[in-house]
Amino acid sequence: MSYNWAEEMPGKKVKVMLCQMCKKNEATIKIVKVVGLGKTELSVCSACANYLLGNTISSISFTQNNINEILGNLLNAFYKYSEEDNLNSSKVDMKCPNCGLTYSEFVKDGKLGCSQCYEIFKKQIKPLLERLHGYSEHSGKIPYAIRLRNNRIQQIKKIKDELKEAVSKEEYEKAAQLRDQIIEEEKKVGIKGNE
Amino acid sequence: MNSSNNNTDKYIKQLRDTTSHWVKDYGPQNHIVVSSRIRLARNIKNIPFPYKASEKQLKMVLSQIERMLKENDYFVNFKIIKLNDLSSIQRSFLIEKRLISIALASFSRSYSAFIYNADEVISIMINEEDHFRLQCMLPGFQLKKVWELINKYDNNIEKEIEYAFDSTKGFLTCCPTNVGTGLRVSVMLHLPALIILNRLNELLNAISKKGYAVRGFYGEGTDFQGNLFQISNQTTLGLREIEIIDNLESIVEKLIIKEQEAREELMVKAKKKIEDQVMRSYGILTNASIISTAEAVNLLSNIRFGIEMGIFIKIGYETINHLMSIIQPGYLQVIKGRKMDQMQRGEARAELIKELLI
Repeated sequence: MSYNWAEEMPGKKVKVMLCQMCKKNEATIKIVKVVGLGKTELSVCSACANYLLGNTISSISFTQNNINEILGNLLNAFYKYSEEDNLNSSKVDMKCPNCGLTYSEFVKDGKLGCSQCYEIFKKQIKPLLERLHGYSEHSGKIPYAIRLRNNRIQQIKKIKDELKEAVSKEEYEKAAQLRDQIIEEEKKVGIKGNE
Repeated sequence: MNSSNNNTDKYIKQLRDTTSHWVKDYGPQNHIVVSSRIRLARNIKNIPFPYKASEKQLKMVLSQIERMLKENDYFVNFKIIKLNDLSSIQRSFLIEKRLISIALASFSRSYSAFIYNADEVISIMINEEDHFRLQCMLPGFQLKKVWELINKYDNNIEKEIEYAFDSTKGFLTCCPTNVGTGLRVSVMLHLPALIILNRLNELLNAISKKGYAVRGFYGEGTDFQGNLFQISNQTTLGLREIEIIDNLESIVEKLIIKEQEAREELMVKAKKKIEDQVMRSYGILTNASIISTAEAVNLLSNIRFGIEMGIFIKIGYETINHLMSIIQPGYLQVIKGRKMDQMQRGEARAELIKELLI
């Protein structure tokens, strides 16, 4: 099957304009590259897009063993394009301070080095995840430790509401109890959060 | 030789002599679906993924599992094999048994290992691309049950080990292709009738276009052999686990119906021809003196087809499943207990097939 990388993002309009590469055909595809705070856009025709991203992409089957290759091609093309076109932008390779992975390593292998990489390379990964998965937010299972923490936070909210009510009813003894309870619960969440 | 090495040899011998649950037992829709499998990719919070982890950190990951094997009731019957203790033949044997991935087997880093339970239903690879790759496999078409099982083990582990997780990106994995649920659901199908009637390509193309991967018997990067196809999801982020499973199930259900229709059509149109092909395959397998893996797998697939169509009743699926595993190069050499070249393997393979089929 074909990996429909070139498909226009739903809901986005592409203006009728000439391909910025060949300057002949109508540009039908917009390639957007995000590096750091900068964003570069390139509108091209499908032939030039094929050339840019490697002609393998539109025709080969999209199985797991070549997904990394496709990913690599895609990232590489973005990378090359910005290097050639964006001479003013900084040439320094971004690097994750936690594990030492550089952006060019990620482009080469399609692998991230640690959890923090997801933050550090956030802008580069986001469009990639949207292409890969279509959706961008997790809606599946939540780990036990996080569920526990979320439950506690909810519990605290509830006690705070009770506290407000107690104060408004001038039940100060109860309010004091509730306040202590909140402090106790917040401590638990705080300890978890700092781990 | 140290003690873990001795244990490894012992465990390999046990694995050689036992048949996995998915091989020897029947499951729903077994006449078309060979097996159902789910794997989960997980990483430990605050430790870099194996790709960027130090030796010390990899060791830490492994020791967490070793501690669980000792202390956690869920893992009391699990055995552990470390990749460093394995020869290359033993590694291919374990790939052929579908216990480990090609990626794990080819890693040369220390502290890679895997654990598995008695029926080889649950196995966990340690320090593969991610810290943990949990795998569960059952015979036939029963993804919900596979999910139930593997989810229990996952829940159990996460009570002790905090996973790398982000509220919007879900479980964080080394490769962005797995992030979110970390879930890969796959089903192995035997589809000879659709192949004979030349209808499979079109169907598989349509399935691929919907975002599913179609692969050969041993997963990533392997050829299609013996009319066997693995279908699995690619999307891991944005959907709930059960939605991913439901979606794949409905695709597989449609394929089952198509294959069933094709088989019925063949029974009407070409029963004698099919029968002839099945019996000829049996004839070659029970008489050949030298046979390659590829030829054997294809002929075994024909016999499986004969069983599925009710025209061959001498043996059951379990024998075919078993043979399809043990005639692979690594498995064969582990059985024979020595290194063999291609010619020697061809002879040993032919011998083994005759033993089990006649």
